[in-house]
Amino acid sequence: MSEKINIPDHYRRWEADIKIGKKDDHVTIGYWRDGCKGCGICVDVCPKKVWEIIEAKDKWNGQVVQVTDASKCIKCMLCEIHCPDFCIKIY
Amino acid sequence: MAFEYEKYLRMDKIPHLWCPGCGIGVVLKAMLRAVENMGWNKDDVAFVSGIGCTSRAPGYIDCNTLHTTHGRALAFATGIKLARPAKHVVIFSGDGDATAIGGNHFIHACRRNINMTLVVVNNNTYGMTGGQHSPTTPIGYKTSTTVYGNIDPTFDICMLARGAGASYVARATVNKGKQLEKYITKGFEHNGFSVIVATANCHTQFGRKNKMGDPISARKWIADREIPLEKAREMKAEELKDRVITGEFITEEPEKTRWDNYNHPVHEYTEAYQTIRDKAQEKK
Amino acid sequence: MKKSVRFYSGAELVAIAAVDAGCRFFGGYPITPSSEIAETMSLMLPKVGGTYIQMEDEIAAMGSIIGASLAGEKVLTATSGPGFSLKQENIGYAYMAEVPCVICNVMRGGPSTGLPTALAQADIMQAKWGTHGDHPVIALTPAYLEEIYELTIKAFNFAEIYRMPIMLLLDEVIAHLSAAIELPDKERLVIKNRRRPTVPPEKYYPYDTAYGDVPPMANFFEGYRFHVTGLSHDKTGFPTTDPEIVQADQERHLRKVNSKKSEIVDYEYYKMKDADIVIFAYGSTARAARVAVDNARSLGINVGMMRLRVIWPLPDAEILKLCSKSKAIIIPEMNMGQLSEVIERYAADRTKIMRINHVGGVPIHPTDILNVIKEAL
Repeated sequence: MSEKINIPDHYRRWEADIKIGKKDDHVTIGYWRDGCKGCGICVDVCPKKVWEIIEAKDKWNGQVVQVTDASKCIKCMLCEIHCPDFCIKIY
Repeated sequence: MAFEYEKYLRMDKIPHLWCPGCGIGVVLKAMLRAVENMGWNKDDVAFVSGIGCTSRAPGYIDCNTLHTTHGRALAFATGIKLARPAKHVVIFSGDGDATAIGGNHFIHACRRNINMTLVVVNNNTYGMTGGQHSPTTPIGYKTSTTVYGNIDPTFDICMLARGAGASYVARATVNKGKQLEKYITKGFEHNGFSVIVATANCHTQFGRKNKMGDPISARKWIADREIPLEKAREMKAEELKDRVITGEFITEEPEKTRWDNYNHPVHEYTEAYQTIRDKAQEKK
Repeated sequence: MKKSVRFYSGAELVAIAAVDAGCRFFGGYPITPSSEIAETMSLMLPKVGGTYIQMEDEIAAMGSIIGASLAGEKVLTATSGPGFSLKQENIGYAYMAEVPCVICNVMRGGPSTGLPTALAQADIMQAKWGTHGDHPVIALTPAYLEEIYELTIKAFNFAEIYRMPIMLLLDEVIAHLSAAIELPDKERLVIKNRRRPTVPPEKYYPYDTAYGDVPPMANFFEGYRFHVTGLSHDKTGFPTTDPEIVQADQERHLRKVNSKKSEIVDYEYYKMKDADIVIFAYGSTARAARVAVDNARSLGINVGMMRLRVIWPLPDAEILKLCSKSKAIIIPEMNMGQLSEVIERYAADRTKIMRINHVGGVPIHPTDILNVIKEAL
């Protein structure tokens, strides 16, 4: 699949080769830390535990998220759809 | 593949002002995907809102946007739509805004069946003013003005819309962004007044007073109470108390044979008004 | 050219003039004694491709015209006292968001439901201070049928020029009065339209003061994609709480009218040349006052009248002049002295202000005024 990846430079990126079913695929996860309010919804909705909450002293509620293991991603898009702050992009 | 929200947003206004995990962001995203599904030109769309947390949404959307007075969004929107019937008018409202202070405008917009789409984000409370009880706060729950528990009976916004004459009515929760997107898209496609209720979490105001002060538990509270319409139809009224019934209450092809549909659907209002113009101009 | 002379009521003339001014949208709600304006608009607008809608309440009627105005139409609503009260919320919005619109208020007795079918001039102050916060105000008070037509056109022009709501204050008597009048030649009407942006969308700001106190106005759906809010906003139209910006914006709003006062104020002198007693009147009471002036003159009393065609803003300099050169100023009003109180402040102790305040719902009779003229001697 050749799709244009449109993740701005100020986003954090994680990439991995993955398998969806038996098909080989590749995932690029983009994450906008500055826009993230650390609500944790992505962690909650992800069926594969791709995301985790980490401490962030600069945020008012003291937390943000990060990808633990991009290779677990199945591109279900739940985190992207349910992030209220436009911070996640999955390609 | 990621959705290009940037195309529809005023990115210099993002991050938005809503609390971490607020359901409004999820509904806004579903709405933007629905706009993309429709292939609308941004210049041809007006987003109108009233007052409250939800009312800030249009400010983030790169279209013609109007943030009006409390409850009056539908009145302003009606003026816009009648003046420019070929354009698309979408109203973004909250439960208090749409059904309390704007209740009169709500039922009459439904009655006129004017081709606009109303998205009501129902978070069961007045978030922006500090978590007072709204017409959709369930009985027994605590808010800043029902500290001993709410005794006010609630509106079912979908039933209200249906009874008042809206011709497409659906409800989905913030836990199901895709379903929301689907219903809003169908509302946009529908030629008539469509109401989509998005049941959303306000953990900050409503949740904190009811032992669900974080977005995850507030969203779970909604998920636990959700019941699809097909299942609800098989259930007894007492089993459905406090439940959130999701699905399409009226679709594009209403069940015309059902006895309680005797009064609607009626014509779409702007089309009907064009026949008035034609009639008036014939006489001349 | 064939002259069109026929019977018109005051209410009909508001509607006819509105359509002639280019009004293509009316949002209303039935209320006595203004409903005839809505009725006439519902008849006329579809003929010219316009839209009439009867909304669910007065608040919605006001909201709908603001929406239609933002979409690019010239708009009108008509109401009376209690409805005018209900509209105030969205009238404030139109001031804040600078949306042109005309509100015709056929005044009746108040407060509350008051006297629905009787005349009054009860809303002089409501027209000025009805909504909360500070804002400029332009209110017109026609007294004759021909003048209703003329001032309605003027109200629309003011709305478009100054980008704000304009109050057209009638009362029950002139709205319901019918007489044979000749309408002016439409070709010769001066019609103003809102100033449009000349810059491309990416350089457009809806409240850009670089173009003067009244910024050019884009309409919705024309590619400008701007934001409109009732919150205090900066030039981009987005909310701000910056004290300096908010202060400057409020000052600009007031300046829109205050700096153009000389072009807005409108009054008429009647037999004022040698008058040392002056009647200061507006609206239908001025008709009685005119007869009273004639009657007093026939008794050899030097009395004249200053009649306001535009009641807000007031012609300050002329009123001050009047105060210093006249022995007494008589102010007949169909209210308890809403304008008298203001003029008393102008007068200080330079002249005597004599009030005639009737609120019973019957017109002030010329004799009532003549009696006060005699007292003033």
